[in-house]
Amino acid sequence: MKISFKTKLIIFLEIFLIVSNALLGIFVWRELSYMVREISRNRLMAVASSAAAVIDAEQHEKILTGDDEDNDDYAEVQSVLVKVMEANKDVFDMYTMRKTEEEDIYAYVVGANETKDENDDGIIEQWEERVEVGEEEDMSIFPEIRNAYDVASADRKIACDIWGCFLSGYAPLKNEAGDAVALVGADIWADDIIDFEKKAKIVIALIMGFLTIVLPLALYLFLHLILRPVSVIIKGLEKFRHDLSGRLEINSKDEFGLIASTFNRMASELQSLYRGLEEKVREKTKQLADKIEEIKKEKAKDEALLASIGEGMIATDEKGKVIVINQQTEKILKISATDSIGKHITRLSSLEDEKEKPISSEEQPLSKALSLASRIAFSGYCTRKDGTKLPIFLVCSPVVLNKKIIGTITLFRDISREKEIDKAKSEFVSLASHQLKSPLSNIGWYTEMLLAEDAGKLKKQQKKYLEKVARANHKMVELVNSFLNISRIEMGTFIVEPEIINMKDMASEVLDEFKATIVNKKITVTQNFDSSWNFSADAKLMRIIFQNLLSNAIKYTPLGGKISLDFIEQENEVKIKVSDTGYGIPENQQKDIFTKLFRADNIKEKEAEGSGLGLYIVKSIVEVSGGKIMFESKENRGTTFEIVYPKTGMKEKKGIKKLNL
Amino acid sequence: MNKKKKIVAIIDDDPDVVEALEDKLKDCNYETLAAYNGKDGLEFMQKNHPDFLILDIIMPKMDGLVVLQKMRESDWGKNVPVMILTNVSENEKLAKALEIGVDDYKIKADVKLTDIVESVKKILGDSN
Repeated sequence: MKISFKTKLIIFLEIFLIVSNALLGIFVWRELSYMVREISRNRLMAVASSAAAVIDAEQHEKILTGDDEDNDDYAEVQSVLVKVMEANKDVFDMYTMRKTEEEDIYAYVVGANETKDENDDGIIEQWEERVEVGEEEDMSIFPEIRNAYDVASADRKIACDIWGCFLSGYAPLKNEAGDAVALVGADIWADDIIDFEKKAKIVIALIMGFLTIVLPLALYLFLHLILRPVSVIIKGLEKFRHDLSGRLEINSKDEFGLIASTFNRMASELQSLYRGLEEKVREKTKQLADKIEEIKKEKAKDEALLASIGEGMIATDEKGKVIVINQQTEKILKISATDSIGKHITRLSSLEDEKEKPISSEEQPLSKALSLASRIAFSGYCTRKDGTKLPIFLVCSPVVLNKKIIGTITLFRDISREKEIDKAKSEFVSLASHQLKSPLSNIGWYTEMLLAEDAGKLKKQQKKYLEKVARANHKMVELVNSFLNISRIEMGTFIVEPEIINMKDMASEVLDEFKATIVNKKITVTQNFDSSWNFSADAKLMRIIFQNLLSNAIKYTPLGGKISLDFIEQENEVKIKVSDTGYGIPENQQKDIFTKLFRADNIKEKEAEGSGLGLYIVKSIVEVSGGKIMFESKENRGTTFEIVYPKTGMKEKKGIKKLNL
Repeated sequence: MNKKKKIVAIIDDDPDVVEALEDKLKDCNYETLAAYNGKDGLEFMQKNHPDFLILDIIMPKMDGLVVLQKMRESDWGKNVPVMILTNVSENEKLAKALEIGVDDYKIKADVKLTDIVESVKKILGDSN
């Protein structure tokens, strides 16, 4: 059971009050006799003193010395005593005493209730006889009497004598010099004191009883009254804990009222603050919910996006452990996402190169992407866990965040279909070129025989026409070869097989092929070859490059023009430059010169021949074999083509087909 | 100079090719044998051992490569010079032919008849 503070306080104070009251009662009870006697003594002393103040010491002296012959003095002193006694009803006897020569022996002088023994009527009551003037009495048991000469004093104890038990008080009677010559005593009956004590005890018991009952009650009421606002405050606070609109209903103008109004003001502020806060929280909660919804949507979108990627996607951490794969990956590799996540990417399947040889761990696209921090493309085969194999193409990119690689993304696809198409295409091209070339070669050969006059002498006109047939046929063969080459370039199937070749020989051979035209057009050809003429290149490809660049230069340089062929060796690279003083390429068309079938407007009219495939082929060859091609051209001033290869030469490339010349 | 004419065998499925070559070679004093498929070609070569063979690759009945293979396995044919004359530029077939052993190969469309004849002469040591 919970006891409230108020109850505790009341119980404590009540107990304290009752106990203290009881203790006080016991104390007063116990000390009452003493107190009553003390009070009585003080009264007796006061009574004695008041009498002593009035009595004339000299007159009193006379009584004992016998100078009071007619007892006037005695009567006078006695009347004083009687008067004083009458004024104090409980005092039953008063008297004066005087010291004798002997210690502790005192002589009576005047008694209020006695007559002087030498009174005239001679009748002395029996009890009166006992006390006469000068009668001496041993007062050794009353030390107070001894003190009484010096100061007003009183007996502590009740004394008893033949007349009964009494309590005495004394006061010195002083002469004019201030010396105590006698003392005045006043007695009261002990029975009176005891009676008084009894009465007092009853009164005290009554008072204490009354207090014991009334005080706690009063205290309770008082505390209840005082503590009521505390209860109200506590209840109010309790209510406020659950309901911020709760207020303290105290309208008094005391401190509690002040507390209540202060609290109420504070509560109002808190409530409005809380309301504002609630509003904000609601708002934030809504924002948060919206955000979550947005994120969910975003996530769903991402998932849909990943799912809809036609390619397989594998994301890994920076160590190659799979973080996420998409559905396509599951489908292509025949694995499940749950089994794959957390595993190293190489455990999902194993990769083989184009020749179906397993690749080393350093050659893994992922390892390369991580170590080189660049995108790695890989084409080869992938063996699934079930042992089946499929051709794939993949690109593995490092994921960089704050300049740090945090993982990789691998996109890959099954290229079985492409491979099939490639094969079909390549077969088609090969067949088509074969089929096209067969009749062309026949045309060529029979024209050749006719022109050689194997079938008889030709007329001039006939010869001229046959030459045109031969030229057209040659052009046709070149076109077929070009198309074939382009198809090989585009399929990426051509081979680059570098070997050491002599560039000067190569250039001379090619120039020889064009000798007739060069001479015809009176073109000056200069060759500038730096130091070594040897260079590591695929002879066939280099020939194609030379053929195309030189044939263009010759074709598009007007009569009497100049062509120069330079081979410049530098620290790390070599440059092959073919310059002419030809028609040049119009500036607005320069950007298109490497595109397929491009022919500049300015030369279309001048030169009917030209397939528009040469530069496209050259650029493809140069780039695939690790070189760069640039050019500079000014219309009617000339063109310079510059091919740059690393000094190490052409880059080797495996493939299926050689290009045709 | 009554020397026996050297026999140049021509195996090609295109009669026009064969005819052109025969005409040109005959002009150059060679005897020619012609066949229009690999199978026939191989058969008549077994009877009339040629001094030279001009061989196409893609042919009905028997592929030129098979002819070459079989010929190289035979006693009569293992040292006969062979020129592959074709319009096929597929690398692997040429590579295979070179691997088996040929003395020359030419792409029909890219060569003149005279170049072929010159090459034959050169190989047979009949230049000049």
